[in-house]
Amino acid sequence: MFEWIQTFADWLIYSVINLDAESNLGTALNFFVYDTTKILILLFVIVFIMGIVNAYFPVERLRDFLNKKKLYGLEYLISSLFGAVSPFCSCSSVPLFIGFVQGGIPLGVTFSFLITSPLVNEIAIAMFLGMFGIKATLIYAVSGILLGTIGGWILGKFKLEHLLTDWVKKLMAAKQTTDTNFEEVPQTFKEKLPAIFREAYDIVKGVLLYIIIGIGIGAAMHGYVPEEFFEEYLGNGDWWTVPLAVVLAVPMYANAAAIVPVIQVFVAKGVPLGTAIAFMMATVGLSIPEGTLLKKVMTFKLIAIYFGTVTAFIILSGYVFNLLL
Amino acid sequence: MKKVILFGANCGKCKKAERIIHKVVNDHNLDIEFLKTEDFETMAQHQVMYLPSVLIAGKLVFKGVIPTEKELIKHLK
Repeated sequence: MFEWIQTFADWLIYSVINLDAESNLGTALNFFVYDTTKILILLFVIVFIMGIVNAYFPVERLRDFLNKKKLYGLEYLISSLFGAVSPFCSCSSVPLFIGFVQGGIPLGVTFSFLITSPLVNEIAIAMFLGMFGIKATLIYAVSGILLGTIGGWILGKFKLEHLLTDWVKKLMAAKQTTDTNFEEVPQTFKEKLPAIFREAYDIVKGVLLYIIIGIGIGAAMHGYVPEEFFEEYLGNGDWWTVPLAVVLAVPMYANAAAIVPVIQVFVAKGVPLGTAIAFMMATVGLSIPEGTLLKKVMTFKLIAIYFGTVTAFIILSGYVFNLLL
Repeated sequence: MKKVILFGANCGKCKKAERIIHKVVNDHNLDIEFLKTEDFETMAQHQVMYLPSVLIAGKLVFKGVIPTEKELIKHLK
């Protein structure tokens, strides 16, 4: 599928720039051009498809659907699935959270959306697909969706509504299932298409630098970190390696575009794939800036329960991946 | 005078949306009452779920996207 990108990279590096195909610099640059081009194309296509899905099934429609249908527990899975396919800027997480609870969606179902939305995102999927292949990508995406589903269900069972901030509790009490209180300008699919295209272009443009930095760091680590370096410390399957990787990742706030090339090197140098996926999930799925934003709608105790539950589940999935992969 | 409300946060996308609105208003000398709000309670009152969103004369025209100058002119003139 991507042979033509390899042909392009070979032509650019070995014919136009005229580097020796046997030299370290030549192979490294060839690898860099091939990987970057492939990932950018994948990212554009994935964001574009997600944009189309979102144009047909906007979050408001999901909210109404969840509100009106009796789904016998499937609502957690549907909410989590939507979290995975909705390409939102992370700053929208709080308005989306409010919109859900305001619309009468149970807190647990709302959590399913909130957990999966950053955890399974279009950038990470494109990077995974480009760097680890379809099998690892499917494992990552499916486990992220399941993590959101089960995490939301468990948090729902705890009955944590009393730990929301007062103004959110008032909104919940006066739940509004009716339409918005302003008129929305209707748009046909054809009218929405340029914005979807622009969004995909903007996302690719926005992460380009991170991808270049990530792949650059990855390429440098490939060359300078000794083979089996990580295997010596993290790769021998000690029980504490997964929790350590996750606990170290939570305070980190990095774009998936930069983190995936680095974890690819970790894996190449001996870190088990499960530990590496758990590390990435904790980096993109939980962050201190997100916690700060959530402070507007949740008490500190609820944020701690939410972060604690998701952290525990990421650790658990790390162990499961290491057993399965 | 049209009232324009930008619902946004402190992220790059929302800042870009604000810059474009200001540019269009200045370039075309439009008589606009502009307000940017980062307040989640105000967003909840208007049931805004995506950022940035732009409300023009009571109509939600842009949801979660950065408007282009051309699109803004069409709605502001």
